Amino acid sequence: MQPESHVDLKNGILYNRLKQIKLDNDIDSEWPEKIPVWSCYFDPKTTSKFLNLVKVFNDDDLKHLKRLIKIDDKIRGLICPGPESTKEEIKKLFKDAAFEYHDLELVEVPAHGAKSIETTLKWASIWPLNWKGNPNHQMLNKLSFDIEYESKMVNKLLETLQENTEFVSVTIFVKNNHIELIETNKFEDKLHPQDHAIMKSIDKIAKNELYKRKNYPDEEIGYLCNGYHVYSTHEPCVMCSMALAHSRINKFIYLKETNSGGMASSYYLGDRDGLNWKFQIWKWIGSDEVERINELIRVRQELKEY
Amino acid sequence: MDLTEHFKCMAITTFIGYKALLNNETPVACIIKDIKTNKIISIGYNYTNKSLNGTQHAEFIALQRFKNKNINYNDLVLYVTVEPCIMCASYLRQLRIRKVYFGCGNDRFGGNGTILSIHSDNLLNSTYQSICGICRTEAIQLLRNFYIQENESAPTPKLKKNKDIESKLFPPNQFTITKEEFIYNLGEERLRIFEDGSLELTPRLNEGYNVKDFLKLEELKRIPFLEQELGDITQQQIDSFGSLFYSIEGDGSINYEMVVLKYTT
Repeated sequence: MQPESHVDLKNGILYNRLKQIKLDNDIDSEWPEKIPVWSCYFDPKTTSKFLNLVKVFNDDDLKHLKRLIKIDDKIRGLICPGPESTKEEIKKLFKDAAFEYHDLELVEVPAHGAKSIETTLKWASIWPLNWKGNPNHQMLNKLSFDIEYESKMVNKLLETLQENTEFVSVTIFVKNNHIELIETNKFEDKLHPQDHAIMKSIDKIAKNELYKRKNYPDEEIGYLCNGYHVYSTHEPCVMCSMALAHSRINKFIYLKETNSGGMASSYYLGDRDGLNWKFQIWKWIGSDEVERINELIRVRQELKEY
Repeated sequence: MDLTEHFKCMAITTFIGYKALLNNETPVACIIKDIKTNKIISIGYNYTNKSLNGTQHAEFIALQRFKNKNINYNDLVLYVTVEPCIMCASYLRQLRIRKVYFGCGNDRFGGNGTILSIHSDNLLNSTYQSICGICRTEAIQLLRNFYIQENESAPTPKLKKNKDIESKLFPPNQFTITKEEFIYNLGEERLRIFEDGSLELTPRLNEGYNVKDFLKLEELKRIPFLEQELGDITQQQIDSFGSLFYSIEGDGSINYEMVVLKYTT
């Protein structure tokens, strides 16, 4: 794959300034986790009928798998994930459509696709998989950021932090390239968790939406913080990281890790499969801004000690 | 070890979850008990739909009432029907709550042992204990009653999940606590339940129960914030609530012979 010029695929860096924060590396495990999927055998002539029938099932969890494989003069097809339907429900569906099949049974197949062509071929001994290239590399190549805008937002964080030596962190919520909110935290001994800048922002956005729906019912309806890009001087704590996932944000950019952070420092919340939502996480590594925040933090540290 | 008090608290909590369901919210609820007075001082229930705020989980509703008050969280015990999520688990820990009891695990984003162990990891100093399995099947059944509703009202229903919840079995009872924690909190005499996987806790050993046995109209009416926020409580509501759940037998098995009803609006 030919990488775009602003993309460093190996290190997950864009424009030399944004580093991708990601839970897993690009190495596959020896064998995949498996999921049970209903399958059956049928005559190749009835393939299109089969594909039509199974359209009623949700196939989101099967997209990495070859749906049909040829075994001797028969086709073996995947119907739906095991928990989705019972054997009786499937039997009834096929019976009602007069579809002929045999050996309706659960088959254990890889739960997810592989990250390399080699693993894809190896795992095919369990069940054949689709290969469309390393999913993360494909994603990185497709991304194009307005890097000047991202830089402007990061500098806005720093300007706000600099305004007041009592400020220890700054968070900005942006939607459609428009700054909706800037929240700060001051140094406090007992900062209530719900006063963390991210929690305050999420609460304000919800209240705005309630107000808007009541008073301006014709305006477009917002869904939680979906569509928001969030910029922050610091990696958020576990609570705030998960709150961002619950709020369905789309992108998070921060400058500094924190000891009790919920992203790069511990659980990569926002980039975990299985949770209800994923969003992009980037660390700003542009040297000018990194130097500047280190200096601002140093000043605050000295004041605190003083 | 007599667990009646815990079951009573969780029965009330489950009923609050039912009231949330009547108010079109996800039926997850909690109560806060002050161990110094042994009184319920706050309740919470999922409030994400009405508030349009995805962080307004039951735990937040119950505890944000104390936000600007001088309160010692180390005196507070939380009972919650479903394991706190990762966000709530961190919230509870930052507040330094004393202890948590929950009904069923949260296998999508449980933060007290199922997906992550936010209550006891080494990111922060203070940890809290989180004990599972009190009224577990009731918490699951209440959630199922919510989800079938949602699926049936979906605009383009796909053939999805087994909606036949009256006869659906419960997943194995796997405890997210250690054997030592189990013995200390739930009693060595119940170890069979810890090890078996198909049995449920009961308030007293060898005695069955039904969750509705713990509910009294007069007592429910006295729970703070409950009627004010979720509407009047009637005996009929308590009876409808009771009809949703299986009894648990004295040996800890679930009485699937019983006829349970589905919640309908």
